Amino acid sequence: MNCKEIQEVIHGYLDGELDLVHNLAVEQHLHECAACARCYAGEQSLRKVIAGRSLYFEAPKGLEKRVRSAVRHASKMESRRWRWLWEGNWTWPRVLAPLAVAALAILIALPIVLRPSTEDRLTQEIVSGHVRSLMADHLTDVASTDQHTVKPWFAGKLLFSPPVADLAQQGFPLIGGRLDYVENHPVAALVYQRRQHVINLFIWPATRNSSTAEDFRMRQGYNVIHWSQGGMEHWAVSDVNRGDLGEFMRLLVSGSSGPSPR
Amino acid sequence: MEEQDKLARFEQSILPHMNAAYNLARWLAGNDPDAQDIVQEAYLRAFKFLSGFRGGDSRSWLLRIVRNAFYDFLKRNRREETGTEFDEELHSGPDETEGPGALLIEKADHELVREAIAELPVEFREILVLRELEGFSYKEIADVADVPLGTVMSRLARAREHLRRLVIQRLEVK
Repeated sequence: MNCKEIQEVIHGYLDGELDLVHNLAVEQHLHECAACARCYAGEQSLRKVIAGRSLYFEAPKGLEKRVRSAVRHASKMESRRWRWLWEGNWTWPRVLAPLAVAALAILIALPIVLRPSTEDRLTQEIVSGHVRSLMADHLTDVASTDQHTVKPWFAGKLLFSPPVADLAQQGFPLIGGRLDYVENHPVAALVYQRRQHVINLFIWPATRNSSTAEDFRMRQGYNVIHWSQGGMEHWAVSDVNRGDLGEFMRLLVSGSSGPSPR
Repeated sequence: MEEQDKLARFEQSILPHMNAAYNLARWLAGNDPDAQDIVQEAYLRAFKFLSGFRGGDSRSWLLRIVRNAFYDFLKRNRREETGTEFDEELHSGPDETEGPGALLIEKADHELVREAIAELPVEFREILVLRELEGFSYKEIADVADVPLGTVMSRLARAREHLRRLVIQRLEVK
């Protein structure tokens, strides 16, 4: 072992923490090397100084009593709590009340948590309205390809006048209109055709809470698109592909802002 | 009753280490009132977690709790650490004070050594106290201080080195 290695283990040697082999190696080195021996002597005297100066702090007289009583007190509290729980020092209501409160909270919260969002519910209603219109042979109340026939037909049946555009030139001929109900309110349903497919366009006045962002959804195999325009909610639903329905929306949006193509 | 057994076991195996607990707390906290609070807190924790003590050395088990109680106390009180910052310069290179220092150092009295140890950074102080005053093995120190064995060795070496400097400085001033 060289001096550097000795320096690393000298404290282990001093503290009797070395194994026999290292112990002998250090011992031998200290015999041969005056510098390391001096260093070791220094460590020994430091130790002697620490050991000889009674630096140990004895616990003050009252401390044990204080600790003992604190622990006994804690112990008493502990056993009292157990007794309270197990020895019938309570009544059923005391235990059941918190449980009942928790159960009630869950009962109230669960429907709120599980309730579908307004958007989801609306989408579902729109799709149902579309499906109903196709099933019950009740697609149109007023069958006309003329927007000027369809639009006046709603007057007197609704509190608003839905915009009615004719998109026959662009491949979405109007085939009629119908009164429908969404969320228990009468709404205008305009019926368009795209090749063999039917597009239902539901329109009603926008409320303050309605979102203006357009969004696309797919529900039960139907494409649903929603947008707001001119203070009206527009929900278009159909089994046409997404691209066609998107185009349908763009035509309506641009048609209303710009001059009519006709 | 179970609680009675627990209390009896506690008073039999943990309470007798009161001096060790106080000595460590006193060296860490630096004053008597804080040390007493820390010891009481540590004993309450020890009682609470007694069922978690599965034999072994009850003294090092308790001192570990004392040490934790001290660090929690320190955090709560946001007190400035009482020791000085450890100066890396102090222990690098060969020690020039070995020769005369070795003789000089034995002149240090109780008060001077006590002050010098109190001035050590706490991570050195705790290891030095556990080794020199409590007589713990490196393994026991590693358990109590929750550090690897290698760290115990290196900290102990640095602690002694640092302490030697502090003692000699004080002797020279005198």
